[in-house]
Amino acid sequence: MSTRWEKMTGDTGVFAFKISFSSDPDGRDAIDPAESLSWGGFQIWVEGRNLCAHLEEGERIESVHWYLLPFLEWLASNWNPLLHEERPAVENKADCAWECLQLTRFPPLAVEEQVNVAAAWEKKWYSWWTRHSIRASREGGLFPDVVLRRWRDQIEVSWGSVKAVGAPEHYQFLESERGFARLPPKVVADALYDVLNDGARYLFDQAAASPRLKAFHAHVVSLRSAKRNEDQRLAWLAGLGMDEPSIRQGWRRLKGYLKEFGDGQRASLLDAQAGELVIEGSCQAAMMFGSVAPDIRKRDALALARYMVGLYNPEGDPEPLRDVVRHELLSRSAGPSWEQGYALAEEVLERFSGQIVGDDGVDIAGLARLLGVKTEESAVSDTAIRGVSFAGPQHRAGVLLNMLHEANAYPSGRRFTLAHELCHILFDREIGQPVAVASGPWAPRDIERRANAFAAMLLMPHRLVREVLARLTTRLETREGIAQVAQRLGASFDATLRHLTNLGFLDDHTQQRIRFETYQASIRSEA
Amino acid sequence: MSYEGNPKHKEPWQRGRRGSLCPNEIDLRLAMTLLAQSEVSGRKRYAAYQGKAYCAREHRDGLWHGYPVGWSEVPPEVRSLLVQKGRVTHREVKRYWD
Repeated sequence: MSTRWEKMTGDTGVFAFKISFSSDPDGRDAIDPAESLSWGGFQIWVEGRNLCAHLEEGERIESVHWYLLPFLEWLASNWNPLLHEERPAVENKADCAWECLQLTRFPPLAVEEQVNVAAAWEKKWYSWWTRHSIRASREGGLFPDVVLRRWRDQIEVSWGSVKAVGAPEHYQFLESERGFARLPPKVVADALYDVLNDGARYLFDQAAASPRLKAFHAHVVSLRSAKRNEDQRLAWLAGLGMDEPSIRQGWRRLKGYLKEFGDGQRASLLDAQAGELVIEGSCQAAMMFGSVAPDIRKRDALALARYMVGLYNPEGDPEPLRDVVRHELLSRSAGPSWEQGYALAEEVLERFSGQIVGDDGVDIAGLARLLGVKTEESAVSDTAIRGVSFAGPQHRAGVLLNMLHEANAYPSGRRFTLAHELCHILFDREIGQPVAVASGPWAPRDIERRANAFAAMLLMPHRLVREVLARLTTRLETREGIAQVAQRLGASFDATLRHLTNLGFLDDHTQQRIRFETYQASIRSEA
Repeated sequence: MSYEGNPKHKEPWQRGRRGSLCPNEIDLRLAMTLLAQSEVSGRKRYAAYQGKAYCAREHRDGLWHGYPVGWSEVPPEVRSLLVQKGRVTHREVKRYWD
């Protein structure tokens, strides 16, 4: 097969895309002539890995070969959701989209027999998979299992190795371990579009009379317009629905709610860093509502919008905060999941311990005041949202504690929520860049996990823990011992138990025993 | 509606020239039967055979070709219909999902 045309754009060490066209080895047998014209190969490179490299009968082949037109049409048709939709289909079950799709592919057994609920689950899953999984465009080809989606201000490419039906035993993709990468939106969009656009032009030039190729080419050209596409792209970022019509409707509804605010305030929430091909920096409203439940009630949407508007301040971050804020990439080390959150908390403690650490624990509200972060207690009827963090170039940084969340009924819970949200404000953005996270089941799991670890170490610094342990009046390895530590440090029983285990003061077996004893005691007290 | 097989879904394997392979036992007669029994969804048709899903696409007016797909690729309403009609079971859908 001689190559008639090929193009590769991007840096294979970050993200690159390549397609090539060659003669259809079977002529035009049993295939649409436009598709036959598109016979060729493609490669997708992510951080030095070629996700298309595979073995066929023991021989390494770099490209996946197939009729490329359906794949390229799929890229064009799903351009906006691919690069802007983050929220997973049915539940936020894993860090990356590929794994999340695997874990939610079937409704849980408890749901399976409720026909309507199961049908809705399957419909949402399929609709999301169709928009994001490259395999949805394979049309009989043997494609790698690669999923693209938005992840905050980045594009996530995730992959895994599941053998497709119809693939012979000897056909194996070389990236056999699951993985994911998060990349700058412009880098991904530019590489994809450059190749897509030139490929569409080439195919159109080969058969200008083909209505299918003409429509495809026109569609690709139309993608390159910030003005035409921005509102639709923002709608996908906010993701207030399950498919395109409901997502557009949800976005229109939300913008309608924002009409009660003045132009400047509304613009501060809706303005986005929109490039021609992709929204590079999220607008804050879309970012915030992208982490709440997709069916958020009007009352909650308004409460959050009013909260954000209430923080409007053209000066942005106060001075003390600017000195500390930075974007800390999530660690991909194989170490314990809490390691990075602990390290970040220790860094903050090193800087502020003289002002916030006393004999009776850490003054977390004092830290918020020192940093100029406004703290507010409010009621959001979605009780899954524990807290909200919000900051940006035109807003004073703020943390909202949802008093309807059960953990915030206790001082220890409120302290933990505040510490958790401070982690988002300090480390999940660049200086002057926006952050808007509603901490709950729809927020990204890995940044939530890091913020939880940060909160635990911030509230229970190693040195304070040692001092408290030295003054214990009972054995640590008991419920009473844990309760004493928790009370003295102003943390919850559960967080203290987990933290002491992470620090190595308890082993896993003891932790489980104490949990079991606590559970038994709660049953006895209920009886 | 007639069936015309595409060589890219047939044995023997040729490196870089084949896709999702139909089992050898699916000859033209069986392919015609599956096409006749298939359920339509958009511009594709779907059928079940021995627990696996097959998709057919029209490549020229009235001429269709088919190939095996995972049940994940079949629209859920078509899956439900095929289960209701007894052509596939829930267990088989899960087994041949990808």
